[in-house]
Amino acid sequence: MSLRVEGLNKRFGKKLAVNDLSFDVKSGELVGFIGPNGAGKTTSLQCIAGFLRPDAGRISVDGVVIEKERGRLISLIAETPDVYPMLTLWEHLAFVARGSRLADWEPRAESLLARFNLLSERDTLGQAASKGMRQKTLIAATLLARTRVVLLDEPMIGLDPQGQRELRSLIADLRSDGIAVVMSTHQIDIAQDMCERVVILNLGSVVANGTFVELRELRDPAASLESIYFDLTAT
Amino acid sequence: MFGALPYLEFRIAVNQAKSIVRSPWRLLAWTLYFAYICGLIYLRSHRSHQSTATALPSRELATTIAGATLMLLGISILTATGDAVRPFRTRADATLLPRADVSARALVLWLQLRTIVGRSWYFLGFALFYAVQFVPVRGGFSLLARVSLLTVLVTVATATLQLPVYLASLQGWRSGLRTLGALFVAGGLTFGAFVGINALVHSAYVPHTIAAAAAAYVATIPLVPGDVLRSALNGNPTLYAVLVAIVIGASLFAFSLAADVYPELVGASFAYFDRSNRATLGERKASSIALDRRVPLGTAVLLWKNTLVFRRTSSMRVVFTLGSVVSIGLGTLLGFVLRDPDPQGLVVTAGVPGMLLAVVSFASTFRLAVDLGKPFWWLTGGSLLERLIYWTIGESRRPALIFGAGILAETIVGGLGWGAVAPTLAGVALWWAMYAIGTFVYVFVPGAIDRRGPGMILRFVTSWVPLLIAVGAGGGAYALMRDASAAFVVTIVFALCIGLGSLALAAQRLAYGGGAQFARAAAE
Repeated sequence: MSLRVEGLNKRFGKKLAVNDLSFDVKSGELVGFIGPNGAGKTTSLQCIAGFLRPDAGRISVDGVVIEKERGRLISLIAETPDVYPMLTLWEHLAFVARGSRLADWEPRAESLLARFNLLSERDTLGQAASKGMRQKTLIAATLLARTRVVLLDEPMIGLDPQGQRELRSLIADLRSDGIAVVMSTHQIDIAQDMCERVVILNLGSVVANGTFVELRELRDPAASLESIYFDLTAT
Repeated sequence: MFGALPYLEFRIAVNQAKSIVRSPWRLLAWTLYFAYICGLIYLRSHRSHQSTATALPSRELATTIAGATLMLLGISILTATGDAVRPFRTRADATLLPRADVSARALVLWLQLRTIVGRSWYFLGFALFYAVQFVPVRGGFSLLARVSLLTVLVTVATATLQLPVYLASLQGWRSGLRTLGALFVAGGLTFGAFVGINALVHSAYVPHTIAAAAAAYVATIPLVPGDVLRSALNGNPTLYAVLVAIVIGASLFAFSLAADVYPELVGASFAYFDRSNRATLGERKASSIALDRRVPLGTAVLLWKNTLVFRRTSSMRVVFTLGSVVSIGLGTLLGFVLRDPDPQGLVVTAGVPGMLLAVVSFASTFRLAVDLGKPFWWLTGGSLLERLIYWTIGESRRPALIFGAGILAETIVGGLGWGAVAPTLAGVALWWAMYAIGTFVYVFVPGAIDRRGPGMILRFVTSWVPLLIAVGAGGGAYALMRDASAAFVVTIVFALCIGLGSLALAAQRLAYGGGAQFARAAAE
């Protein structure tokens, strides 16, 4: 077991953003996080990544409960591709490599940039990069760091079709390396195509968790994932 | 330990230097700034015999300045205990720095160091700019240096206290720190307002009871802040040492509290960015006030939108109410001065609203960029000039009302009676003109210019020049005709002409694609 989340709670004032969230992701598994706007997907991912402190709950990686070390074990690629305006794309990778104390990282970084068609843009400053380029750079930086768990918050947004295809391929590579991946998305077809299991959230709570086969068995064996989703998140 | 962090700062500095080499015109702001500073130092040092001011501020004025500083310190503490802090400068910082293999303690120390360097550099520019103009020549360069150093140390000490105060408030010390902040604010207000009356208003117009109470109050204080400030300006190193100790102590205290604070640092930063966005958009607290039946036709819809945002944003309403009260209070105070003008007091007191006027006009230069980024603005009918006129009226009308109320109070108390109408209208017209000028300056000094330090001052100063032309024209008219009403009418006409001219030029520039440049600059 790679990532286990148990009883995660997060409250903002009176609003309960995440309510008793529990799920686990095996090594090499891709789990989809789906749910309507405000369901608590991003908040959950931020809590797991250590960007927000949960009010309750336990997060463990490979059986070890983690506290301070989250940043080094879990990577989160946020929905908004925020980069440093005055760093080049290559320097972002260099920064992450230095931060993660990686040795001989340059060939891998070049290879990642090449896969995202960014090699010719390696000296472009962050302020001059398009949204898609920023997104690809952050994904490349995260992949370079090789953490045990990777969380992707709406990663396809802003990527061109080629970038999306490369990302799918890279996620497959991550999984083959034994990395646990959680991906939040609004695109149900992508979740259906790519994820082995989905966690459906609504109003901060898990309303379903399982493979598509299991979800169909729970609701209607003939139903599509889309209709199951709308059925579960109707309230 | 710091491998990634020095690399980050070093590469950012290198890339900034490279971008300046690629576009040397970005040095324009710095060149103008240093030319101005050096020129003024030369001129003032060669005309020192004309200086009539003493080298040090009076005890009361020094106490007022120290009081204002204490008040700012209190506000800073209250802000930090209210979680309104921004440990990380940008979202990129908040997202990427926690990934670096650096402990939270080391990162906090690094953030403090960055604050010290950043604030020192930033405020040194402003301190020099003002000190070179206002520090009496008789004091010499050593006084200039001490004023600059003191300004920088005070601002840096205030800034470095924010993070430890925020971290301490998370440890359960919030209420104690809030009390401390409130005490600083109350004490500062007392010094600034209570004692300051004696410094700013002619003694003949200070009510006897207030003057006596202020004197008694000062007599009970073992250490009058004004004395401390004057002593420091005279070269006593104690205050400087205390401020340096505060900076070092605050950083070490933050270090000791930062065992595992990454989530809090990131969370507070994200919350700050989100709040800032919402405040900029002015749509934080939507109420159910319905104005949809009174939507005007054409470009005037921009005014309607402005009203809607105002009515639905409680903070804007609070600022408007408080601003009006303060403006009328200050106007009344100035009115007393006006009845028996004391040249020194008049200069000091008139300088306060003057500075406020310039600051607000400067701030207004950023708001247009926010609106230009929205399709709503571009979809509105009418010419660009018409849109800019409505936009500036919408943005300036409430501050102009606040400002006008203050002038009205000042002139009525000052004994002008119905003649108060002309200066009030002149004040309102000037205020609108400042928004128009601010828009013009923003269009012609694009965001690509380095906005830090002198870049900021360049815009600031450019905003002043047209205002001085309008006021100067009014002064000239008075000198020729010896008629105050005519002088105010001339001021109004000049302000309106300058405002319209500024907007016409801005519209022309926008029509040639400057809008996209605006939106991009605002997003940086």
